[in-house]
Amino acid sequence: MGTDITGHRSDGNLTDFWRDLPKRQISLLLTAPIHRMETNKTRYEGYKDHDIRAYALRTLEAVINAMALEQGATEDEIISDLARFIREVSKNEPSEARKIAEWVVAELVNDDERRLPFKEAYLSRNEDGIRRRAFSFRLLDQIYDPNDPNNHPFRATPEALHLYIGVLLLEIEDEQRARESLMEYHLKHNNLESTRLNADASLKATLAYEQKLKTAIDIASRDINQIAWARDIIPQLNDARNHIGERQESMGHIRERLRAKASELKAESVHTLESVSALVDACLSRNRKLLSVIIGANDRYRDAAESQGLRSHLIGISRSLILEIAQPLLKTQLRHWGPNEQIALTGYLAGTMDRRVFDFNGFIERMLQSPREEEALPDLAVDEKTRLEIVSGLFSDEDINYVDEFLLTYEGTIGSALILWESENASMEKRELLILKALQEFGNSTNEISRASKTGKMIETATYKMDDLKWKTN
Amino acid sequence: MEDELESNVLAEPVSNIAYDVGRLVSYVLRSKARPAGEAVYADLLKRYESDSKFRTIADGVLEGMGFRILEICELSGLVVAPESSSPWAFRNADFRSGMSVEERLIFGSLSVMIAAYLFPAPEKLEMENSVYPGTLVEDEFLKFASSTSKALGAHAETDPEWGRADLLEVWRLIVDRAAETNSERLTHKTLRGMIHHLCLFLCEQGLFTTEDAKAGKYRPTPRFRVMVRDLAQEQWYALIKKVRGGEHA
Repeated sequence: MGTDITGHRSDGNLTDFWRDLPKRQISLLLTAPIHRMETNKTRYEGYKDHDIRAYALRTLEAVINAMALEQGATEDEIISDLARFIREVSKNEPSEARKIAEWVVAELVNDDERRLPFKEAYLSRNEDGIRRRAFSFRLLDQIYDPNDPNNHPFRATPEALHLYIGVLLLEIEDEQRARESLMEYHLKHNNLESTRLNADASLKATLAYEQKLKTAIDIASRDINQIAWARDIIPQLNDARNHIGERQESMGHIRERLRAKASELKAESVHTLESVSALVDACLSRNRKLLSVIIGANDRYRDAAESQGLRSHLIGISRSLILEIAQPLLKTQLRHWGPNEQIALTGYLAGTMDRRVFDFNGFIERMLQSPREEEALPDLAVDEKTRLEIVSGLFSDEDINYVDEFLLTYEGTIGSALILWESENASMEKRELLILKALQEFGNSTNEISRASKTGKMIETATYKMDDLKWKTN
Repeated sequence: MEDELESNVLAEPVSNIAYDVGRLVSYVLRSKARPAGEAVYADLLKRYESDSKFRTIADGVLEGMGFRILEICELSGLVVAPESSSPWAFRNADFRSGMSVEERLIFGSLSVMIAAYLFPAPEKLEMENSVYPGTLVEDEFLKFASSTSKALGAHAETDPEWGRADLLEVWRLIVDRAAETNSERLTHKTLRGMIHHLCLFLCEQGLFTTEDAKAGKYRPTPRFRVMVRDLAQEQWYALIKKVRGGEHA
């Protein structure tokens, strides 16, 4: 099949060269930051004789190993490990070695550019012609540790994992399959050391796959309400589920073979076999966890989609509590109230708690108001007086006192108020219990609750007054 | 649809749903609550994500209270922002009472610059929530604020899009105050002092944590990224991003 000068074959498709060029360039570009570090080292006194590329790879090795053990490595651990390595190869003083180690890690997270992704240009061709495009990627990230807000362990990105395990031109899924086949082959031929090396590579490929998938899910989850999520992510999740199923089957098979092999081996090989088994178990364990992440993401999507379907048929989402869900309840309790009054009451109840919620954007907006706007726009937050004005449109003065007495005393919230409505037919004990439970959970002071429990009467009175109020409004 | 809703609601007493929604709301209102640190919050969030009825009620309650839901994430939970008319909306006096217009504008500008400093480009904002964006050190930020204000001031003079007259004055004030700043003095009259005050305030609001108080070093929390994503739609952030991107520099 011939090709023409435009880079297309006679059938109109791109030639293999142009089709594969972006991927091949990206493989090269991933190493660019490390080469740049090697070049830039001359700017720093005393760095000239150091092999920065080796240090960068050593850093990735330490981070990836920590990831495989499911323990993130802290900044200090990574820097200390690298500093030790630098001292071994260069005989530098500890403080000098540490300084170089800190620089290497800072470069790998791109601290100089305030941790923006690295950006490299590459050439691609499509129906619009030849274009220079930018490829953005990161190598090393620090992440938040959900269990310790002061800890930020390091994580290698999927690109760094690809780079490190040398699968630049392969899809990571293919790498996983290839490693498993090689393990089977070497195991069959009793070459345990090669089996171990491939098991190690397989675990790293499993990590790379895990990072790739988690990144996709994480980013997509933020846009869970967008239709594109269904189109783009669900097929990926289904493929991932199948892929992991295959990996588990294949690894399970390898584990069985390893067990069978154990009885045939000489004593000196047992240790290697145990290492292989540990690596295989680690792959199986990580894949099991990844599978649950995928299933969870799938469920979240399903619910989001259901919820969207539900919402699209309903009017006024901001009123969803009253108009959509609580309506059956409110029909019997507050049927004579219009939705606006119900919403106003919701706002009123919310306002009974003296709490402000900070919003960075709103804060900036208020701070940057021009002096003229400031004069024209009074602070819109509802103060005590305004709240009473809102509610006075709904209740008589006497009623306001009832509501205030109960709600202001106990900082009642929407939840407790709804419980009150709902508990109309419940026994007094049940009502009291519900109210107390609500108060406790809504973060009121335990002293106050305990005082209220002791007297009991206050709650009872408030409940009666609430009932009275409902009766009147009915 | 109504029948369906009614039957769903009947399946679980509304009191139970409302009770759990109330508990969720109480966590949402605490800006420092973290799902990882509180199992009940994590369970409620799980329910929010997996139970569409529950979520519809919770969304309705929050919206009824005057909140916009910004994002839900494993690290910071359900992040909301009050509408300006919400009784929950933050007031200027909650930040600091008796501020002059000038001080208010400087604090506002510094806030935008903090966002642009930690998230200088959309690519960084779009990273996964789990990625830590790096620290802010007061002294380094001071230099950044000064150079950014200088650039903004220069452009504002020739380009009306680059700021109102009062903001033009603010850029100049920041540059002047930065030049006068003695890092030993942390009063609110110095730019260094104002930056310090603002960082401590962001710590109080659960957007920063202190890494090293003496060095003036802070860590942004995951909640901060969510808030800045919201801010990124606004002209203020775009303004500073332009300077950083060098489009007008």
